[in-house]
Amino acid sequence: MSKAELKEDLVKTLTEALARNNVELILSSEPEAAAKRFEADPEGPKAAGEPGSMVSRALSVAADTGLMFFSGKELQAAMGLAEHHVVVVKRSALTPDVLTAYRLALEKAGAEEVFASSSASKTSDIEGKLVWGMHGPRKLTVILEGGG
Amino acid sequence: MKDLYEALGHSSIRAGITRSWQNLYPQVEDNLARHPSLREYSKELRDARLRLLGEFDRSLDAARRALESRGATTYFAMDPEEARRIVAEIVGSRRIVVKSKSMVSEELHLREHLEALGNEAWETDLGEFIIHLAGQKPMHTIIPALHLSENEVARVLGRVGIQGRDAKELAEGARRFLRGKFLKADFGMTGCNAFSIETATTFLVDNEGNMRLTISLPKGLITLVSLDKLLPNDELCLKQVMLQAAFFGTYPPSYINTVKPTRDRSLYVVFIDNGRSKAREELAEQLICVKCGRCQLECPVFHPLGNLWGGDVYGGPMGMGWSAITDRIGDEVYLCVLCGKCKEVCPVEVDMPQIIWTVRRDYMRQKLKT
Repeated sequence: MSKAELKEDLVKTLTEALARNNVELILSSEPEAAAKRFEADPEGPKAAGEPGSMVSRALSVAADTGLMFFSGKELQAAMGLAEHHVVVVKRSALTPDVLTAYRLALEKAGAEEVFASSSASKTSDIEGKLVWGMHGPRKLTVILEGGG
Repeated sequence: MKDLYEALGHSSIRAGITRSWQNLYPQVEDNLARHPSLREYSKELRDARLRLLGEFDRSLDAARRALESRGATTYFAMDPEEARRIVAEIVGSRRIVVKSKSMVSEELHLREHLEALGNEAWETDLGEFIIHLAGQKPMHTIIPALHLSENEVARVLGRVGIQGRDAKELAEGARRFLRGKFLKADFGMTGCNAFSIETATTFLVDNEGNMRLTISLPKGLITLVSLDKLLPNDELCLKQVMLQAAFFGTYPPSYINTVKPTRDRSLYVVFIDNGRSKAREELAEQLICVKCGRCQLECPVFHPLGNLWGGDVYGGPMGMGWSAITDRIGDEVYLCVLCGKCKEVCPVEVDMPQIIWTVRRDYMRQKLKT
């Protein structure tokens, strides 16, 4: 399998994983431009601590599960507080599995903590009923480089 | 035993456990079919964890050195009393503490202790928050409030002014209430799903997102690391948290978080023994349990009785051994029918029937002495 075919295979696997995780997927040849419309309110978090949407860039992504790795404590807090988390994923960040994605994220993060998200925040703690947006983002959108 | 007779009269326990089993069992099967490598991690983890049991002292020293060289403050508590004293000294009084779910903190009764000292201490996992307000014991390791109906949850949450007609509205009310606590909290407190000695990193998984807020918003963070959570490196830690999530039925987890010492946060790591080093000879198998809670949902005795069948904190098949290690277990251990289902479904093949034989023998010896 050529490198290009391998990447296409990873894109297909990731697309399926994101669908299972209830994640919105946008394919774009210019993902940064596509992300512009989701940029957060420049005034930052509102008094109630509900900062609307925020955009971040994945250091690496595990195609098999849709787990996306990030680093940076401020980013971690902002991601946790946002209503809508939007992630820009470059093709170069795609890896086949979680362990490979973690290694790549560590390489890029240096000494910082890395962390991962695969879906919006959720709970089934009341009568097993699934509710999105328990503490963190109510929605997760991935803007994947390619196609569009 | 009185609790157990009462449990039989509460059909909601059986209904909640059956519903959880019906929801999660197909997901576990799907996870394992879709990700066959997870099964390969089982043996590797089992071997690594059994090996590490013989090296508690060396592992603990290495973990403390790794943390302190990077700027964290570490402590070691042999028993719950010592742990409560250490955490109380760190927190002080009139502070707000936000907690993520931690079975070890339940062992230590930390939240109650911090409250008694004049602090606000809030459970932030929704199920644990409900149980905290209800003043009950968690009914399952991962799904603490599975026995309560929407109406019962509404009554419980109403005690702090949270209103709602259904699960969605109640969860929304809890989100808003706890968001206020997160934003004002002085300390976050977490347990630990796995700890990497090599990089001094704590691994934590959750689905609600409360863990992420607990570790990233307050200026101070306390992590409780029981000795059984020590692993040599990040890769094994990652494998362990993935296995735990997959065998519970929520794979991939929504969030994987790691905690390392950083300049902009005061990190206090409290290593907890609480019976673990003493148990290495006879109950070593129990110490490799990853506490995914799958054995509980598969157990025919747990189904009608829930976590009321067990010790003060831990119940069900895994609860027999854990209670014997961290506290005590009584006549309840004789209710096990030794069907072996718990061992069959365990991600690291903990030999729970053998553990139960050992606990019964020790219980009988003790009984004969007295």
